[in-house]
Amino acid sequence: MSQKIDVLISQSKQGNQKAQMKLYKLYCEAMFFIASRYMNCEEEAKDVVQEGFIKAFSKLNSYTLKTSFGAWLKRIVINHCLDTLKKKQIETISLDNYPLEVVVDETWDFDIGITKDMILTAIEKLNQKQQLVVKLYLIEGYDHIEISEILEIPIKTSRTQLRRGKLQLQELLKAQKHEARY
Amino acid sequence: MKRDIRELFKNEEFPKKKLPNFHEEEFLGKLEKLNRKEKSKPFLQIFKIAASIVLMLSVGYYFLSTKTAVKQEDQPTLFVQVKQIEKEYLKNIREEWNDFVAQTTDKNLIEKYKEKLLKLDTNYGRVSKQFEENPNNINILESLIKNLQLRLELLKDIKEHLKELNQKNTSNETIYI
Amino acid sequence: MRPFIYSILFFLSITLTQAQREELVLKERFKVDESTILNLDVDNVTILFKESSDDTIKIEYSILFKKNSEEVVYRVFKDINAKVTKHKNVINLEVKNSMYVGELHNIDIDLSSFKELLFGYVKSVKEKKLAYRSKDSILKEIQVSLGTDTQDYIERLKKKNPTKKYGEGSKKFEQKFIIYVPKNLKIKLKALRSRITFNCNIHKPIKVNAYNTYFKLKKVLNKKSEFDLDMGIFQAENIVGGKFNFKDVDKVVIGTISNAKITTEISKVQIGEIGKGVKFIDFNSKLYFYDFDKNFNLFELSGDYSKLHFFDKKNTVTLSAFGNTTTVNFDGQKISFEPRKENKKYKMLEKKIKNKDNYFGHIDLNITHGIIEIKSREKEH
Repeated sequence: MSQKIDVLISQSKQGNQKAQMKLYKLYCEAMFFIASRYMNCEEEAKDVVQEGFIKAFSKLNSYTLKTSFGAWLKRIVINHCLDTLKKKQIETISLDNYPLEVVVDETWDFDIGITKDMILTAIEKLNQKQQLVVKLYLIEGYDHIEISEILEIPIKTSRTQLRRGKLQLQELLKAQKHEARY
Repeated sequence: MKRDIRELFKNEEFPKKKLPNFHEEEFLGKLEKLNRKEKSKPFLQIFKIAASIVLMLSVGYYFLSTKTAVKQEDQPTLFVQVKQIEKEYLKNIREEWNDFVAQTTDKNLIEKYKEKLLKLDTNYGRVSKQFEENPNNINILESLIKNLQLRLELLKDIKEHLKELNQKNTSNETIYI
Repeated sequence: MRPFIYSILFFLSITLTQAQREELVLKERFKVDESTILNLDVDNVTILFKESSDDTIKIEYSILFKKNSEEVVYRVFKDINAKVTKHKNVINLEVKNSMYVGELHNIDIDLSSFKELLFGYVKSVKEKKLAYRSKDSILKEIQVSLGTDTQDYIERLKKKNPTKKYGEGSKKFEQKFIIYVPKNLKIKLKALRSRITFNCNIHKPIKVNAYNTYFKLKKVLNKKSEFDLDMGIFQAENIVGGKFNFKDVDKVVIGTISNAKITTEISKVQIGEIGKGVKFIDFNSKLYFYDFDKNFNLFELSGDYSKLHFFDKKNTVTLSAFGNTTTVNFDGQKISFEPRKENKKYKMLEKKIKNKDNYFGHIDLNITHGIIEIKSREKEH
């Protein structure tokens, strides 16, 4: 499978439209799933995905084989999502007025009764800032360095927002659990 | 019992979601537009031309002063090329500065030149920033290179001036001509 | 008849929208009297001053776009800030544009042509250095100059080869800024990275403070004028009075000058003809004095690390140099004057002329660490 993709990539680099369409068909649904997490409606998500592909094809020469094509593409699509959200004046992240705490809290242990779906629902309830960082960290698997690059914020801010997001999640899910009991 | 929820999200294969109808046709249209644009004047082409201009600009000045052979090689990106030229110039500027300072004991002269080079260096920083924001602006590029050339020329000129002053065909008496 | 006109207008508007597009930035008009002062504070602007036909000052600023592109128009207008206000007798014009809008570097040919021209240009610069130039040739040069030597060289080539195509530069727009000034208007100008051209003479006192700005002037006639330039370019056809301060100005070209005081530092100055009452104070500049007016009487210069070029015609001037540590090249003959203890100055050189029939005046130099080049010339150029 990966050999086939390599061939498609090198053909796409040379401007082979058929190869480019094939790559699109292979990855568009996965990218659409990701974009839907950040955009408000399906139309927007579709536009972002397609524009993301166009961006990717125009800078295909900078794709090295260090990462998988899917991961590389995903990064482009996510960046484009955030750019689009920014353009629409939706507040993303800015430096808070809170003093930056230095404590590093690495545990992400939640009660086993809490399902993945419950977590995903709870994430949607977080405020915009925390939501973005939590999604990028937890779901997309980016680390703080990558998150700080994607969101163009300092690494400290990324850590702080993540911590707060996690705390908030714990709060939300605790309440849910109590509800579930009764 | 607790468990790390990060594990839940790891090893995610890319889950898929179906796109709205006719998305493929729509994408094909966008793709065609892109390929048409790529065929006409590719941006990178302009960068490459600008890069060789910059090289010629710097080489041209050196050519007549040092009479070395002109070699034009194919360079990768504009930014890399500019950085190369910058490095070369800054190295030469530093060498010329050291030579200059060794040639004279006039503190006032050295102070004035230090001040002038510092001013040009600050200006260079400002133009560099502009260049990073507008890498396709050839005029900014030109002012970048001109700044480097000017600094080098300044030092070469004062060195030549000092050299000429040091040549001895001396006279201690008034000469009437 | 009417439908015919309409169809022409329709056609014109279509062609205009396909091609150029002009957008207005500022248009104002003020009445002016003897006490009015025009106070300008401008960044990255190109202004042309013309003489007003009445006693009003007219300010007209628009941008001419080569193509009708919303993106470029948006980008340019985002970077322009222009406003004009009048308070009592002062008209304040403030224009602060970004470097993107600025037109200091304005080479209007395509890149491959520029490449070709470059070597020729560098060569021509080297050849031109030590030759004598007449006042008329300097005046002509100023009149057609576009600013930098590179630009002027390209223009000369274009004129020499009218059929050859040099392509178009990457410039997408042009500033069209004209200020019509009445004769009796006092001007105060603060400029940064701009281009200022006067198509009319300056009669009233003008005070200029500029950084990296290109000036092109006709006559500067008021003795109270003051020009203070840091970098940039200065070209003026005639100067009759005033104080001039040039610091790090690579290109100063003056046709004729009299009754003026000039202070220079690490600059390059070319003067076609020096008249009465000119005083120079210099540090480390390259000064070219091509000719002296037949009634100049006395020219005084004091300098340190100056490099002076004189072109003596048929022994019309006398010269004396006082100072030390200076080298004189007199028609190929080289003489060096030593430093003295405690940097004491002494009379180094005196040039006399045999008969004073054709005597124009005396050059009085006070110079240390200088290089003086004197070339005698018999022929008129």
